[in-house]
Amino acid sequence: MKNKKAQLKIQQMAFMLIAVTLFFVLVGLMILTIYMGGLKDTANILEEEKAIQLISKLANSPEFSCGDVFSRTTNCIDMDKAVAIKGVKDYNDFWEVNGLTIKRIYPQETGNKECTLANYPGCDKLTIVEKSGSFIEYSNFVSLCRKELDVNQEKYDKCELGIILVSPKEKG
Amino acid sequence: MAIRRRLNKKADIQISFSWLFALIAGAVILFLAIYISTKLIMNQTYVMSTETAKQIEILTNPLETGFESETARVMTLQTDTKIYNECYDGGNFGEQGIKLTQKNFGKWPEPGAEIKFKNKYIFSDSEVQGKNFYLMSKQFNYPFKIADLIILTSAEKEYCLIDAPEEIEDDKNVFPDNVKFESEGCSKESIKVCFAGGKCSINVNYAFNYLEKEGKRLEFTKDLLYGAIFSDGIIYNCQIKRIMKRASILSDLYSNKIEIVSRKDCNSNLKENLIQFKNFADVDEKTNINFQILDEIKEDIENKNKNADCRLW
Repeated sequence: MKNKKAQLKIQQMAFMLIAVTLFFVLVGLMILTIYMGGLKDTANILEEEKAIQLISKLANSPEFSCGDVFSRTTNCIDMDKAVAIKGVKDYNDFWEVNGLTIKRIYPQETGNKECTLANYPGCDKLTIVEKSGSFIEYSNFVSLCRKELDVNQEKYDKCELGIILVSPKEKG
Repeated sequence: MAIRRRLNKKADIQISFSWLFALIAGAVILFLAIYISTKLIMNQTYVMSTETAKQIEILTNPLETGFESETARVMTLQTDTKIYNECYDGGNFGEQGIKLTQKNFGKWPEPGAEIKFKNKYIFSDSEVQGKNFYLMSKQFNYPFKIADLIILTSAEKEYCLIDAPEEIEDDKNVFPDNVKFESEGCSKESIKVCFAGGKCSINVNYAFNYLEKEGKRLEFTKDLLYGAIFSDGIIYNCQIKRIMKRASILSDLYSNKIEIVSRKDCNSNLKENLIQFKNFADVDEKTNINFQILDEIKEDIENKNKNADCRLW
């Protein structure tokens, strides 16, 4: 009789302990879910901000920027220089991006024809980095400037409206 | 009477089984909770350190966008932090590494994972400690723009520039608050940087482009002076090699551009100079960069580009 009572008490105690532990685990999980949800939103906003900064940084990097060649300075891409990257292989992993493309959007003359050293400037799209897979792409408007000859064979600076498309590498 | 007393004593120390079970189970649960919490805190510290290192990378991006270059900004971290600057000069561009550890319960835990990037050049001591840090950016043109240099210093360290030449004083607005000129009044604890000799931690020979620091001689070219002042010898020598590697690849790029613009009647006589520049800029790991020769080539290139029909940069 005494033994049975003791066994019952042990069972009660065990159930109570399990219930209390489970309660705290559930509360912990709930807090974690709420916290992680907020964290995900913050991470996405940060990622977007980072991508926009990356685009500005790329447009103003020495490999693309107009420097003192043209009258514009910020967010201006020297296309004569950018096309020259096609001949340099070292840049593949330099910017740590999955994709980097420069497109002429106005006036579009060739229907997105890819630029090569041979067909430039008779093209609208210059792909510098292209990795296989699908990635989120961010973009920003830029001026695409180059040297051109007019009808009298006089040199002049020609600037057109373009867009720079960047797929940043994922976090980690 | 005696028997009853003994029985009572036995009852005093007698603990029921349910109490014993509760004590053992409670102890086990407590031990597990403390063990798991400690593990989680340690893990979280590692994650936090790694995330902060990544945030530093993001924070330095605006300094390279052109809008905010040639400026200084303050970076405040929540706790006392040690930032480790790592530099690797192998490969096409070398790599910049950053890892950090943040003080936790009075102790410095193991640093978080190292964050590496190829397109940044951070000049600092190998280990920078503090809660507030200054990030200063300076464009490096040699002769064309090569990179935006980032100089990282701790707010705990103050630098005092003594007898600085006018060119340096012109950069006053680029300097963070912990870099002062002698005329502004420096604290006794500040690191003295002398430009005209004297008993200083850093002695700069501005005319002959070198400085002496901790018994080491660091050679520089004008725009690299700040990098040499604010970083230790190992980091400085590694970063300038990385920068010159990029300069050498950029000279290839400009050589290609010469061919492209020549189609538009823009002829340039810079190709040979660019090849010469490339050969002196890209040195192997054991060779030091010869800035004396490079300065001469650079000057020649600069003049030719300035007077060219179509400028290359």
